[in-house]
Amino acid sequence: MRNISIIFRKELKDMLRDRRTIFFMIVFPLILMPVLMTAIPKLFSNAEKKQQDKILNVAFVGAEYSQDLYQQFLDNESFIVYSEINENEIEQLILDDSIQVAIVISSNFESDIESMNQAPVSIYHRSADDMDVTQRRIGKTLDSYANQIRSIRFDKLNLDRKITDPLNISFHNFASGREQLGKMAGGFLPYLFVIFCFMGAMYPALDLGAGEKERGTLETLLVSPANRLEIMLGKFGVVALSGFVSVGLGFTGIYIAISQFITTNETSQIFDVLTSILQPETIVLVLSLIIPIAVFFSAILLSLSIYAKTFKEAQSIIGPLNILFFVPVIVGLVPGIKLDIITASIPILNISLATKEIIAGTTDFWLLAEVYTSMFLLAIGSIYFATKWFDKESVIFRT
Amino acid sequence: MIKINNVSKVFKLSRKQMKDIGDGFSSRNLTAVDDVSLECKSGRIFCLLGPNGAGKTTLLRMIATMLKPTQGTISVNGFDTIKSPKSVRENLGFMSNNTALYDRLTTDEMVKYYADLNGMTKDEFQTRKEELFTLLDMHEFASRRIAKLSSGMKQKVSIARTMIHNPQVLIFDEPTTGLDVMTSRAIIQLIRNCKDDNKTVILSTHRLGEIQPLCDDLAIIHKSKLFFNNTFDVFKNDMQTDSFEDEFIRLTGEE
Repeated sequence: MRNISIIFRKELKDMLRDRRTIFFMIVFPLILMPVLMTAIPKLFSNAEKKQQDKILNVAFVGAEYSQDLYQQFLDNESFIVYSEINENEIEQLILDDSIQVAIVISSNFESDIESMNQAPVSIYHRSADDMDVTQRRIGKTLDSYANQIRSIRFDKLNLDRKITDPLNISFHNFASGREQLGKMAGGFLPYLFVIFCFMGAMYPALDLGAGEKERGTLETLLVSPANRLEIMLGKFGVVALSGFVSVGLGFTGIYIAISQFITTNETSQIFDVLTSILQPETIVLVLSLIIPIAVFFSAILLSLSIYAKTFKEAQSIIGPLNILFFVPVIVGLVPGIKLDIITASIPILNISLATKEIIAGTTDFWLLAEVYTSMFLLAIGSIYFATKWFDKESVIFRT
Repeated sequence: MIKINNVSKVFKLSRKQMKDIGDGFSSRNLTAVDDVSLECKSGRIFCLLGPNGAGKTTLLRMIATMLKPTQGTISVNGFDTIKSPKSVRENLGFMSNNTALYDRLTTDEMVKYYADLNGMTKDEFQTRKEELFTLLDMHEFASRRIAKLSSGMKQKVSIARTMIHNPQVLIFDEPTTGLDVMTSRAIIQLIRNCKDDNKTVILSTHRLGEIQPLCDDLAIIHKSKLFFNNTFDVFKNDMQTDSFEDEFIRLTGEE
């Protein structure tokens, strides 16, 4: 035990002096993720707002055939409407970006409207990357005009609007805000936890296994009175702690992001629900699920790292592995997949599903017990494997 | 004292390793050390001579308990390497040709780590550290990180780490390979001091020239087999050629 503690303390000190480890263990979860979480949605909403506010140059071909419709576009301040453009010029003008949209109506537009037929309206535009905002803006003006015509037609025919809307639907959801958010965010959070845990554990594992082998320090450590089990457990402790701390900091980072950076009304409601979720017992339950996964990741990552001859080889082995670990988490995001007697026994997937249940406050005790048992067995199994693996001459002195 | 009795080490090879060896190597087993028996006495320097790949490092790793012999027994200071590996390691200092240090630790921290692993008390560590740091002139860079040290300084830290627990048996694997003259000389002096302190010293090398003044006993290992095992005086007296290299070739039957 004494040697495990000596090795643990030394490795921890060594690791905390490594910039790469600090980045993946502290900076990534605590700063980068919250920044990404707030910056990316903001970027999207800013881009959309920019598109909404942009003045569109609109060519209206056939203004003389419907003054009413033409007027609707003139009245909209976000459009500059040109009526003296020929239909055959449209394509070039749109491609040159001189105009963004062209609306073409035919000479019998008014008569079609009058005779209660459908009047064709052609819209020309060039939208590949502006999130369909142009289409939506034009569509809104046309919908408003179509509603006016519809009302006139209903009045003419002496019909009630209810005829075309036979159902008056209203939804009443008994799920609490916590339950709704839990099922939604509860699927996303384990995904982040697995990333944080994996990334946080990865660099210490690479350094403490393959890095030590490459530097030649493993050989001198093996000649010290510490036995292989003590060496493995000392190193393993640091790797697991690093993964676990990353998740804890990830939690903190997300909380800070939501409380400090997101201030709209809609999200303040989310924040209220989140505050109700972030009760000590929920945090303890979720973090206790992370412990076995941190143990499992650390044992596997350290085993693979010690197998590799060089740091580079270890990276090439571990790199593709994260996909394998993330698949069950992603499966947990699929709608309809719930925590039941079968899924509770599938490692990682069960973490994903159980987190959803814990956050939503709908945890079933026996299923949760099955999740803990499954993960506990996996953690013990992985430590046992790592212990045996460290004892193999063909692994430690692989050439 | 080290006693090696009929020790062999056979490695199981993977297909890839067999392919890497080449030359139509078809066996799944590679014998790295083949039935070797030796005795290294206290107060004497035992030189293990052999070309690269002869099996020297494998033999040293078995003495240091890193590898288990496939056959035979090894005892270090009376402790069997299989039955009492921890006691063997407590009595052992191992220095490879690689300085093998942690760049992010300071000189002090590096040496303290190995003192702690060897169960030294704070007072024992302070006394021994003072002795070694003075001997090797290391006080100036005691609190400097290893990454910032010159290669000569690193070699000194490596020596201090190996010697901190004052082991009775010392193994030096190619200790002077790639070192400048001054550092080589310092290491050779240190090995002499170990002999004067009645310690058991094994010195492994593939070039006898530079360490032959130190040599009391000599073993020649080649292609995993022992070709010579006697005192260095006997080796010199029985030489039938003009140089150590030629004598080595004559004894091993290589051209």
